[in-house]
Amino acid sequence: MTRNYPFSAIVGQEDMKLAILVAALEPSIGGVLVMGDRGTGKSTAVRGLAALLPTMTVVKDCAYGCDPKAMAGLCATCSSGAKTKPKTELRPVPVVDLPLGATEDRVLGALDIEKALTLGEKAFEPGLLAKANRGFLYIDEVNLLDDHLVDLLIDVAASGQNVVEREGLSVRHPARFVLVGSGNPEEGELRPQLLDRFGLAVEVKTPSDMPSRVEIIKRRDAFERNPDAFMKIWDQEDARIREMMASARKKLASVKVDDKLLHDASTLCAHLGTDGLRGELTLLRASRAVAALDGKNKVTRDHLKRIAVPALQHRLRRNPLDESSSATRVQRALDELFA
Amino acid sequence: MNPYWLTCLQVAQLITLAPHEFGGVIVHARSGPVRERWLQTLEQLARHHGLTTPLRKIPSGISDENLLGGLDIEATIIAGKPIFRPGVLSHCDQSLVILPMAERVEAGTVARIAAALDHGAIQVERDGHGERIACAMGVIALDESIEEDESVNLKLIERCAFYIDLDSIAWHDLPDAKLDTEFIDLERVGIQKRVEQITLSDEQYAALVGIAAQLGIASLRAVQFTARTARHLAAMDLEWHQSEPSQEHLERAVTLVLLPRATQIPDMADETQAEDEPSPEQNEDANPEETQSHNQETEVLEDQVLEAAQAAIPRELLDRLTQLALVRQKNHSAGKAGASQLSSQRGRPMGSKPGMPSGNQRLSLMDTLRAAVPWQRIRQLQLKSSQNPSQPKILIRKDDLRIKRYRQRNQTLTTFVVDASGSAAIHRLAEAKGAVELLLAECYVRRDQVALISFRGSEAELLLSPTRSLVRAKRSLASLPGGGGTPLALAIDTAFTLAKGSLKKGMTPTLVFLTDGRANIARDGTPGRAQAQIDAEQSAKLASQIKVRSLWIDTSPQAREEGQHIARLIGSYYLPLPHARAQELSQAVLGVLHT
Repeated sequence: MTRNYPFSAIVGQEDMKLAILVAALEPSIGGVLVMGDRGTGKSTAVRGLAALLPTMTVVKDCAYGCDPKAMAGLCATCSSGAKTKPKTELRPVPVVDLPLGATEDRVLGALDIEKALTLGEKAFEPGLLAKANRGFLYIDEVNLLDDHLVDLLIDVAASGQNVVEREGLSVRHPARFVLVGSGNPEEGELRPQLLDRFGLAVEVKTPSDMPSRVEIIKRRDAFERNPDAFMKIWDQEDARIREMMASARKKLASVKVDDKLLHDASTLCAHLGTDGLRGELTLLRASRAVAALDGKNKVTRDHLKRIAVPALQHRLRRNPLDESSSATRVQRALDELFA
Repeated sequence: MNPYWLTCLQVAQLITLAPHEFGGVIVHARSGPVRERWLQTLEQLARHHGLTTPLRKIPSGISDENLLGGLDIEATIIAGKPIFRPGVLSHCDQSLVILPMAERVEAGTVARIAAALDHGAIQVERDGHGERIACAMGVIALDESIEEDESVNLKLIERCAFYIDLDSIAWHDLPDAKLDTEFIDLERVGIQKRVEQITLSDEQYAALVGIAAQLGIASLRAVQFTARTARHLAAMDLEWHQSEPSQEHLERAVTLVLLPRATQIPDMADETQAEDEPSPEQNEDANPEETQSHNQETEVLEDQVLEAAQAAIPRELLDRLTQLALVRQKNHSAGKAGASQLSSQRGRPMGSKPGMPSGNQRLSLMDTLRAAVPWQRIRQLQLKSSQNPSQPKILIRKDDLRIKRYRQRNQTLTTFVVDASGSAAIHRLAEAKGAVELLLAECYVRRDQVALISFRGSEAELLLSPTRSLVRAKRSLASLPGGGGTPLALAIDTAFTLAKGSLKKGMTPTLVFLTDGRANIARDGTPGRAQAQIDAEQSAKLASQIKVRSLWIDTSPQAREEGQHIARLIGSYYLPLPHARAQELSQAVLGVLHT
């Protein structure tokens, strides 16, 4: 298996890195979509994310990684044995790849044919959505994913539950996952319904300044020549980010948002005309996560400004006559309102 | 002898030494003896370096089942339990694969191959089987494209280190075949060890990045490939004992990787002149601040390497390569990926339904098995009582058979044929642009594909190949220039050729003409109103034989007879719009299109 390039060794791309950290810290935001040119390190960054996540406590041997502390939303097996205290184990937070060409039975789960044929047993074989429960579901080239899989994903992501009704099986299990996607907008657009599922959206470009470009090439080459040595150098940096995440996680619940900031967020969303309240909610949660990452107790306008573009840009109505990109429109609004 | 042949051989050598590290080679060549000979040498080299031979081929229309793997029908039935048959990519670890007619490979297939190139492995999640399979491979993409709008998917170009153009070599220019085999004398393992020891100096890295900028190459992957190539060249050079590549190695690497990707060629000879009087183009690309921050030493190295690399290949070829690169660049904005993304003939898979497989209805084995499973015990008992000696492991009845179902959604392709000639430009081009933009947004919502043809001067140009990308459509529309004659005949020809092509792909084409209908350029590009009108009528008559819904919007200030006449010949719905604004225009178009 090839090793993943360390997250901390990625040169520049601060917006993307911040968005990924925020999405990892606060899963309720609803994941992150990274769109951009070829060769900008999109999937590198997302894959590096797995190394930064802490472990989670799960019910031992549970195929769905149920949370022993949760009372609702457990799978059938875990909720039936709820009277006795379940045994637990620690597992890394799953980052599950949904590869192109995956078939429905592998994504949703299906009748386990092997068991059925050899043992005559009607068993459910959990799919990728089960594996991704409480973790992340990563789709590279998300805009090339088959339409019917997109439909399934949208439905499950909205309900947090995967309902399988096929081959005489009737199974429902929790499937709460954070969607993480990457792709190249030149190769086709994302369905608006799916776009909506992503909490944050960032656009990445290849850095154009010489020093960063040289640095990227140097690091890439060093990684290629001796991956182990390279990983060792960056292990410390990755560990630092991991610690930052851990302390931010503790802090997150106590970060305060005052009314003035709420007002700011509402003004911004109203000015941009984002649909519904989802934009505002995301903006607030994301700003709070930014503050927590900074180790601050209170969200300031500065935190809000730093995450406003990724939180809102994909929620703007398309205006075919406005030439400027959504990102510039958000930025413009920020400048106008909070100069 | 053609010196370029040596370059091509060197590429073969490098790619067989480290297939996965270099990703692959785009081989632009038509089928013929030169390509045959190169492939033969490649095969010999591959054998010498211990790769799997003969090289595997991936046909352009390959299904996921064959590419990634699927259930093996025969083995499954014999064994009585599911047997997964690995796809082509599962056998490609540490080897090279050939992609014939690479320009025609579907975007989805390219994406799957690209993922394998990125990760050196494939993640298979299909038919009850999930596995990660090592697949560190290299791709030999045989690009046979001739037409301008054909090209290998950019995703693949991006991931292949090398590009060679065998069409530029004539068969009689090739040296004796013995020379090819002289190339085969290196030991792969020893070189791999040496490569790890070699690193570029900071100046060398900086020089490569600088050269890429000068050549107008944005992607950093290309620079990475160049550094990698330089390191390999130094490792192959047994007389070189230093830990960094020599300047010559760098030059060679630039020649092999960067030059073919160049979108602009900095002209060294005219450099002093250019500095005095910077052309607007250069101004854009050479940011003065960056150049200053670049230290002197790096700059000198940069220039030397670039100059030598340029000198190493014939000027003529250089020009050609640049042209090719530019064609690709244009494609980049015109875009093709969206078109092949949908295979409308097959539609999207929608699960399965009971039925007999026949003709184009394919058996869905997984679902058939699933349907049969619950009955196995009962059937086994039945069989036993009937004393059948040859008892199969799985008993499948006709009722169990399931066939694959696809939703045949007829994709609509709306092509806008926009008159950008002088006469139209004055009156209505801006309005037409606005209307098209509104329509584009509508098409986007309905998930239709759109294309854009503009005609002016002496040609009709496909500005935007069928795409679902609104971003791209808007971009090409915004940059639509106006002015020149009205080559109406050409416009009609181009539009209907495109429509015919999309009909073949199973799409429903619709054409929207926005023009004042005043032809004044004949089909052969010569001016003259009379001949132009005759040609346009002829084109219209030919076009009328193809059943395509079309709409003719007359944009002249007063409705004119010429336009109406041509529209009638085509069988178009004629819509005179003397003074509409964009909004009204789009309303009118939508009204007609939706009925």
